[in-house]
This record gives sequence, structure tokens and C-alpha cells, in this order.
Amino acid sequence: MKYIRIVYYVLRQSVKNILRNLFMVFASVVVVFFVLLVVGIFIEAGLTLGSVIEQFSDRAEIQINFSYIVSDETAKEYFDVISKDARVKTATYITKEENLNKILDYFKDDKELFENYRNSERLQFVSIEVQLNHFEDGTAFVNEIKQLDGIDSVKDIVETVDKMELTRFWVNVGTITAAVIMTGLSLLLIFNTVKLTVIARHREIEIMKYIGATDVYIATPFILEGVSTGIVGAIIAWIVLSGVYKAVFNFISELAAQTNIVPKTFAESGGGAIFVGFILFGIATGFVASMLAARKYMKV
Amino acid sequence: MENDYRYDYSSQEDDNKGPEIVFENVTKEYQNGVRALDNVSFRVAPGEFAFLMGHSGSGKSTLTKLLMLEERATSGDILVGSINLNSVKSSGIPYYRRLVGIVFQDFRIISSMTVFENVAFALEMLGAGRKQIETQVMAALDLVGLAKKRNEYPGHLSGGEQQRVAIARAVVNLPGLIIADEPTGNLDTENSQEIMELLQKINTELGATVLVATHEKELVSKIGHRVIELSHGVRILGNK
Ligand SMILES: Nc1ncnc2c1ncn2[C@@H]1O[C@H](COP(=O)(O)OP(=O)(O)OP(=O)(O)O)[C@@H](O)[C@H]1O
Ligand SMILES: [Mg+2]
Repeated sequence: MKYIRIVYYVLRQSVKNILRNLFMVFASVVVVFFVLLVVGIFIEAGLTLGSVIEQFSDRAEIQINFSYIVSDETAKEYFDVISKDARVKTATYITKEENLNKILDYFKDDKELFENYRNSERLQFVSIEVQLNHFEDGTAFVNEIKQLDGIDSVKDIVETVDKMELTRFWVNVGTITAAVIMTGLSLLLIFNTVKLTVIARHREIEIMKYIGATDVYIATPFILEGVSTGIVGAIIAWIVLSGVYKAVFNFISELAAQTNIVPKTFAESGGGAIFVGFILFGIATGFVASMLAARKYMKV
Repeated sequence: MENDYRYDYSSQEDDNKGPEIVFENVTKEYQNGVRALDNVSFRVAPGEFAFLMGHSGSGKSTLTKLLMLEERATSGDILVGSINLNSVKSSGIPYYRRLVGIVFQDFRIISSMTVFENVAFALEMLGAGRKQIETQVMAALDLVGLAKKRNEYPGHLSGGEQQRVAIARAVVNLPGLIIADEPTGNLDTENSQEIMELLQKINTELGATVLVATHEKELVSKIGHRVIELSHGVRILGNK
């Protein structure tokens, strides 16, 4: 009972502190909010890019189209060689017939137009679809294939994925940089907010010490002030982030048909984990900053 | 009143009286080399009322600071009841201070709190309940004659009344020892007299040991308790 009452008195004191220092507390909340929003956007961009890359990587990476003059037999020989290449995970042989159907399927809306081409020699070619074990081998592999005789074209998404990988790398660098700078900013502002409260209550702290208040009893309201600032900022940031994500999600969904990319919802894209992360970040920065401020300025 | 947070002054013959104070060869040298107390020894009996006198700079405040563990003695022993202050760790200081009521020259009450709240918050940190706080705070305010002004803010009180609030706060959890450093330093003669009488009343009614540092000779001689006199950090008067 005694301890419940002490907790109650401490809570009451921290509410009083916050109300008395409302402007600065509000400013800190806004900063924590911005910090987490920016970092959150970076994280989401990284995660989304990651899932797009995954989807791309899952598909056939390289399509080798033989020239129409290459016979089935010759193409088969090439296929055997490619299949045995150590770098190749899977290789699929696509017959002339299959290729033609694919093309006609693709243009099915204008079927009549293309029906005449059914007998065109030029549309009778063999293809091989190749998936590699390691994506990094892509560029070298494609260049080797291009040297071969009878190759009409090699289509690959290696370059695209490479570019996306590079983008993802820089997004990650941005995430870390933003996280470091922004964490510093949050710490600084919460520290200063709590410092102001501590200084404003300097006299009370001094008196409380004389009448036997423990350091924990005196410091806890200040620490709660910092921690609740962090938590409130985190919650607002998460709500806004999920809103931003939804807007982007809708935009991508409209593009989805064209891009063949399946967008993920906020929840699927780590929204829950981000919420937990934000709250923990809020608690940690609030705790550390107010702890430091209390330690530094509570000495009477 | 719950007393689980009270230090116990066990080994003392009379439980209703405040603790005995013993200074044994106490020397206090500040960082800057000033020797504020030089080998001071004296004893205040349990429940006694004693004055601490001496000219400015003779070490009165230093002595009270040692007693409330705001400063530590450079050498020598200070005993409060069965507690040797040298053995109280930093983390134990708050608990020790709950046994001691402290009164300052400049009152040190909180202007944004009412009279009642100023006294009550000394009990809140101990986890006292609402009813208990109400009872004890009103008892303390009755003792100092301020029950009627419980809802006033310090800004509306005279100096003498503010000092009474501070005294009420010092006695609200019934400490065995009251230390006052120049409690009348900011007050006129009439108010000074009343404050001294109040401290005396606390001594007789609560049985607390009371030590008052002052340089007001007239007041002291009027009240007529034992005097411990310091001069340049050395005790020169007062029986051991
Ligand atoms: N924190 C300190 N650091 C260094 N010297 C100090 C400190 N506090 C007091 N002194 C010195 O110690 C000596 C005793 O000071 P103290 O305040 O105890 O005297 P006092 O008897 O209370 O004087 P007054 O009647 O003016 O209040 C003085 O010379 C003072 O300058
Ligand atoms: Mg003094």
C-alpha cells in the first residue's frame, strides 16, 4: 500500500512537471515524431525495395533468344552446355512452338493481325531461360553468352536488379545516418527539456533532499517526463508513417498491373515490428536523456 | 504513525526522548584549507535544548551541516543516538535525514505550494496515506498555530508565519532531533521570540533534542538554556 502511494505521488509530480513545462515537452514530442518519421520512411523504403528485389530475383533472370536460323539440334547442344555450367541453377528450354504461342498470347487483343505471322520464319526461334545460383555472376555470364554464334538477343534483369541493389545500399546508408543524427537530436532536445524542468524545480529538489527524499524519488518524475515524451512522439510518428505508407501503397497498387510487382500492406511490410521499435526507441532515448539531465542538474 | 522507516535510536534509556548528540574531537577542514572546526567535543543530552553560539565564521553552520550530513567531518566522531554519522553511507543519508527536522534562516518553503502542501510533501515521500497526512499535517499546523492558514500560499504570509510553516514541516513526522541554523536571522525581535518559544514547546511537548545555532545573545539569555560556544572553530564554553 505504502509503495502504491509513493508511485501515485511520483506520477502526480511528473504530470505537474509536464504541465508546467508544456511548451518544451511539446517541442520534444514534435522532434521525436519527425525523427522517427524520417527514419521510418527510410526503413520502409529499404524494406519495400528489398521485397521488390526478392520478387525480381525469383523470376527468370536471363532469357537467351536464338536467331531463327539456328536449328533445334544446335540449340539443344547449347542447352546441354549451359545446363552443365556450374553457375547455373536452372535452365529451361523453350521450343519454337512455345515461343510463338507466347507471343501470340501477348498480343491476343490484336490476334487477327498476328495470325498471318504464324508461318513467318522469323518468329520461329528457340529460347533458353536461365536462373543463376548467384546473382553476382550475372554480368559475366551474360557477356559470355553474347559471344556465342547464333544468339539473337539476351534479355536480362541483372542490370536492373544491380541498380536496385545499389539503391538499397544507399537507402540503408541513409537509414543509418539518419538514425544516428536524429537520435542525437532527440537526445539533445529531451535532455534540454528535462534540464529546464530540473532547474525550475531546483529549490524544491534542495528542500526535498533536506527532508530525506531519496534520489530515486526525486529523479523519477523527471525520467517519466522524458520517457513519456519519447513514447508520445513514437506513437504519433507511427500513426503518420502508416498513413504515408497507405498513400504510397495505393499509388503502387495502381501501377502494379504494369510492373508485375505485388505491393505489401503496411502490416506485411513490418508495420508491427516498426511500432515496437519506435516505442522502444522513444523509451530508450527518453530514459537516457532525462537520466543524464537529472544526474547533471539535480546535484544541489 | 507507521514507523518502519524510522531509524531506531535503540540503546537509549528513554524512548520518548530525542537522541543524545556526541561530538568527539571533530575537525572539519574544507577543500580550500579553511579549518572551520578544530577538535570540537561536546555532548547534548537526550531531549535537551541547547544553543550553539559564536561570532560570524566561528563554524556554527558547519557544525549543523555535519549533523545533517551535508558535509562530512575530516576527523573525529559524531554520534546521534546510536548512529555514528561516519558510518552512514551516502545512500543512507535520506533515511537518516528523516529522523532529523531541519530549520533554516531563509525558511526554504515552496512558494507554489499552499501551507498544507508544503508540510504534506514531507509525508508523501514516505508513502503516507491521505488520512494519515491530513491528521499529521493538521497536528503540526496546530502546534505552530497555522491551522487556519492551511490553504494560504507563502507569499501571503509574514516572515514569522513562513518560518512556522518550515517548523511544521520539520516536525511533521515526529523526528527525534531538530536542528535550526539561525532560525530567527530574518525576523524582527517579536517574531524571533515567538519562534524560539515554539522551538522550546517542541522540545518539551515532543521530547525532541533541539540544537539552535544563533548569535542573538539577548534571546538566548532570556530563554536560558545551555550554550555551546564556538570561537574560531574551537569550543570554549558549555559543559561536556
Ligand atoms: N563550503 C565552504 N567551503 C570553504 N569554506 C567554508 C565553506 N563553508 C564555510 N566555510 C568557512 O568556514 C568557516 C566557518 O563558516 P560557518 O559558515 O560554519 O560559520 P558560521 O558560524 O555559521 O558563521 P555565520 O554566523 O556568519 O553564519 C568560515 O571561515 C567560512 O568561510
Ligand atoms: Mg552560519
